[in-house]
Amino acid sequence: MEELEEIEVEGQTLEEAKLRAEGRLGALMEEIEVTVLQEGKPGMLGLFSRPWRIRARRKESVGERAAELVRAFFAELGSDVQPTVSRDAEHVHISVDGEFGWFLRRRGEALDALQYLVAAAVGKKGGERIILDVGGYREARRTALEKMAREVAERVRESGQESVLEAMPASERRIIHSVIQDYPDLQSQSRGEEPHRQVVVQKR
Amino acid sequence: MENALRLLVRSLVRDPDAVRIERHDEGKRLLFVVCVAPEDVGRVVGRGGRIAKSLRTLMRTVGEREGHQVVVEVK
Repeated sequence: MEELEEIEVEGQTLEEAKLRAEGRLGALMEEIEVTVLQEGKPGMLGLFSRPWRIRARRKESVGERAAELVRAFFAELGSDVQPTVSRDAEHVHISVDGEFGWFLRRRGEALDALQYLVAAAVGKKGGERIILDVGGYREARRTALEKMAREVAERVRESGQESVLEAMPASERRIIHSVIQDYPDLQSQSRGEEPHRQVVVQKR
Repeated sequence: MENALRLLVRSLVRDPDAVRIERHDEGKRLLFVVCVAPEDVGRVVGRGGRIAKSLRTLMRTVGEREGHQVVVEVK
């Protein structure tokens, strides 16, 4: 992870010092952490005046903190990983590359658990959801589920019989629902209680 | 394994220095007892016990890799 740049700036007022810090760090005020090093004094006729001096640095984002925690967790288990962070409108994606078959058994339940713990540890500011992927698991699972959902849709269309899918977690049920939405003559809903909730696909 | 668990627990609480992990080797079974400051117990148990459940699920898989049957308890 890159070193966080720390700068010291002065200003006649606290506001002015903060504005300078913003400019120098190329960051918005809410992304900056400020420590006051010296409180300023207006003085009289330019005499005895003292500028405000502050130390400022860019705050670590939720994604960076999450990635660091994931890196440290796998490091403790003897795996050196370099998580990458990317963002879309609602999600912060943390991805870890490598061979993680051992970690992904029982449908990635350990992955879901680690994702939940990391989100709890870094806090979910601004409602950004953290999505953790390891060894490309979620990506592969999405592709497989989309394919299966289309096959099920064709079958229900032909037979007219409803189809009950195997139990899956909410994130995976959402993938099925979104595929079924492409079929105007079909509908899908979830039935049962967690963790045995199942998607049912039927004709409208 | 213990260090990985400690790292996660420390990241969840307000008082990381109070975190202690007791390890009890019981043959194949390996028990970790997570001890935290009294005011942090809720942060390690979580709403509806979800945090504690996630710690258990995660550490079970991590333990299996090394041939251990890992159990996590929160105290």
